Amino acid sequence: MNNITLNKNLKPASEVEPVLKVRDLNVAFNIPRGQAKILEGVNFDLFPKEILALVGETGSGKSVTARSLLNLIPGRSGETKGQVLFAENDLLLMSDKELQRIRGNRISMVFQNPQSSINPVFTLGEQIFRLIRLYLSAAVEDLKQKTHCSQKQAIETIAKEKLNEVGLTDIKRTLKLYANEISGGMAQRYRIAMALISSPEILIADEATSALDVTVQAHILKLMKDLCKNKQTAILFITHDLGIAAQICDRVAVMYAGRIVEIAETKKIFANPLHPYTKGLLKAVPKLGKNEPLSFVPGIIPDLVNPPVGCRFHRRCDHIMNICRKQKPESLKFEDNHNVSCFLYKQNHKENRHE
Amino acid sequence: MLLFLCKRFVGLIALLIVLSTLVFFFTRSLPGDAAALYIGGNAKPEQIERARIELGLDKPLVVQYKRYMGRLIHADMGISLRTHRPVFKDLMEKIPMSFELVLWALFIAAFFGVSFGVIAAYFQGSMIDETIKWFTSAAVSIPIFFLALLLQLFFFNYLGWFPLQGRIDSFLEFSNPIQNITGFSMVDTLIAGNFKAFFNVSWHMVLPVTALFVGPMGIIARLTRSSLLDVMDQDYILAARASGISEGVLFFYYGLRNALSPVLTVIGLSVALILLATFYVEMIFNWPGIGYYSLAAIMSLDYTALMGVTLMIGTVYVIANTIMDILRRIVDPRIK
Repeated sequence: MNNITLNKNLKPASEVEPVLKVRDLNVAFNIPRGQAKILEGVNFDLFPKEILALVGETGSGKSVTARSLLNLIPGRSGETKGQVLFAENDLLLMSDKELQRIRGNRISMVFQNPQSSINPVFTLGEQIFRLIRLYLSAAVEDLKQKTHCSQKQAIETIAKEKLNEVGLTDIKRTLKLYANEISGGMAQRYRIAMALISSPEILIADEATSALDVTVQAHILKLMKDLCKNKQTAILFITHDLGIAAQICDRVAVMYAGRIVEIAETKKIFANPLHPYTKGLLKAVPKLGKNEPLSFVPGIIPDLVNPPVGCRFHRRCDHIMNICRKQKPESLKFEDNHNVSCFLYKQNHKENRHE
Repeated sequence: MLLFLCKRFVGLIALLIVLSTLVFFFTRSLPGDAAALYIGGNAKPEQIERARIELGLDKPLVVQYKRYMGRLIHADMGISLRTHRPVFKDLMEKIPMSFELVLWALFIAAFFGVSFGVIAAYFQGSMIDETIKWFTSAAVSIPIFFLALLLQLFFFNYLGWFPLQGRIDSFLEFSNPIQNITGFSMVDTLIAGNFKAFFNVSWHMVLPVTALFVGPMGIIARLTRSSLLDVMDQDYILAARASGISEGVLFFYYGLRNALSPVLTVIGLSVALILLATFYVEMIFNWPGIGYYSLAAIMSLDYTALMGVTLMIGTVYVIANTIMDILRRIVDPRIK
């Protein structure tokens, strides 16, 4: 589990068509003080079968990104602009009816708190049966024809099969339980089974393992990785834990204050971090056995109602230049599969440093 | 479930014992001579003395208390000082009349309260929501006796759509009398096939029931709305939405069932509210039920009747809340 594993077949963007393209995604929330610009110009591609990590500290906009991909941010609380292209369609322009056909069917989501994301007044069975009726009606009919059983038995058989896949045991009993009667690990296995029922093309895991203890976390990570490999599902893995990103992800995107500051193959970002924020984050990972003070990135995430002009990181940056205060840094291609948004890497600005 | 019911039953008995003790000593500390009240005005002192012995009022208070509690076990609540009939018999006659109003008011308040709450939550922030919010605030804040008078003013005086008061038109009382089968006049008239009286009785019930249900309906509607909006912000609704469940199912099936538990509690509490309101609504509409009976008892210091009424209300209240608790357990399996 601890070695960095890379999907060797991963082709660069030019050769494989991404399954999801996010272009200039902007999300602003209306709060009493004004408009908080939570996301500003987020761009990334998700390729088939890959695992892309979205890392950043609390408040950097990871979860908002995840939710806005499925247009789950209610219109009354915020404004979502930009494009989320999936199968030639912009998800942000879709009606609720059209979105329902995508949500949970072709793009699924797993959330941070597994127990609170299961409805507490319905049994686990009732909830998974509904999804099976919704997405696997063909399989249910098939099974009915083959084994001459009732609709209910067919659904139950499929549910057992799906829950078996995620490593749940004693399923007959489990189906009768409620959310408060199962452990966090069980709940997350169950949620993953629910998310993968329809073999979606994309799974968005929003801090899916953060609320679990470390041993359960390792199981769930392995489970997600294996299942998605089998089902050819791409994963957008949102986490604040760089260790997890290193363990299972093919690429890593680093977010800061609503922007993606660096995106690269996992190997490259860990070996050669470019953005000052990425460097700070990697330094802040505690190392076992070394008796040195814990490093951290000084300062806090800026106020997003009045975000800093120019680079949003400039107030916390050691390498600040004049231009950082004035201009928003564009994403630069440093090398293949490694992009960074920082003026440090723009040749003609080198001389501006420390002015 | 059985254990729960047993516990509730024991609780009810305990409550009744405490309640009857309190009521007994409180009513006895009221001024006024019960024996004199019993015998009526212009009585000679020796007649009053005889009544005092007849009622056992000459004995020490503790002895009287023991005797009262002993009789209570046999559903004997003593003789009413005002009507000179057994209180229990009086109550059995009056309870159905009031319950006819109370049950209708409760049912309408619950049904429309929940419906309006759901509609307001579904159209949150819209004109419909604002209208319902305004309407329910008005419903909650208007005093019931005032509402009752307004209803009489508009629907009897100005429009003449509904009768002013009473239970049935007096001429029908002779031509198509209500046979006393269950005591519920609407049920009795239906069983007897006495449709003329049935419609007349229903027609008489509209205004008092309206006066009773409006307030509780407002409370239930407001609570349903806020409870439902709260539930719709929960993680499990977001997760269900992300798994492609349609908004309708989310709202009316997943959301509503979660939101219903506090609403059921409040419906249970509104039983008490409505029962209290019957006291003046029955007075205003001259409805011969328990409220009217109690008010008359209070006016004439009829403490045996008052004790009976108090015990009856306590019992009804406990039973109503037990029913609501059972419903809540069905709706929300976490309550154990």
